[in-house]
Amino acid sequence: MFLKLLNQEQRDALFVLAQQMIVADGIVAEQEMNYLDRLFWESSGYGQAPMSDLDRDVDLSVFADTNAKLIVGAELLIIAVVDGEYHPAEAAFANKVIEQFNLTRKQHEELCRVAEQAAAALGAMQGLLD
Amino acid sequence: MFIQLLDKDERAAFFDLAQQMIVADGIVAEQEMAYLDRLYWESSGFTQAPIADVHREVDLTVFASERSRLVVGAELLIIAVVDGEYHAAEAEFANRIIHDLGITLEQHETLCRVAEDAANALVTMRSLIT
Repeated sequence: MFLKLLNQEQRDALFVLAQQMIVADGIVAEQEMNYLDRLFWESSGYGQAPMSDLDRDVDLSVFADTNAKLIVGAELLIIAVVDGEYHPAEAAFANKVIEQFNLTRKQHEELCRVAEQAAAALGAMQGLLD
Repeated sequence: MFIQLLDKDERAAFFDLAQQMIVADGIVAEQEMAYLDRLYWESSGFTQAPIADVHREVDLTVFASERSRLVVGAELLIIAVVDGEYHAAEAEFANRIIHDLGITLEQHETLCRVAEDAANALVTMRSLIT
């Protein structure tokens, strides 16, 4: 939802992280893949995200500024909750990344709110479109 | 948020409607323009939406599928509430278009929910990003 503010290198890194988040709980939910495809379209104009190397270590230092870190945090949390489940393994993955970004507890809480609101909008819209 | 589901003609018509919605209440809010630019970036990769002829009558039959009509309804309502105000003139404009698109009352209510949740997510994120 917020990729506009990331540069190409940051977007590439986010797509790897996003796919790692999707498989973190061992369940690849349809809503998660739909959101990933939506992000890919937002970023490139193409409809389907290519599969990344999930074992690749992502260099988080590409997200040099706070805005980029906040955007990555928000997008990962949206993916985590968009299927209506926030699995402990997804929470662990999100927390690990967000901790490495040194985001404050308050920022993390706000990002969770953003993710819940965005996921609610996406879920209600999906319900209408199906 | 959902503009990837529209084709090129539908997007062009939607951008005219979006700008008519923005000026409907006589106030061009920064948040409305930011959301319009964000949609334009998603749609084209360019960062600033060109100003449309806001008096042009938009041919709504270009939105041939129910999905595209629902997407237009949702995006117009997001624009209407993203500045935290749902002005009577904006409501009138949205209601007219949604009625003309043949969207049911139940769908309209769900679209309002989608718009509120999406706008809340955008506003919360905007307050985090400096």
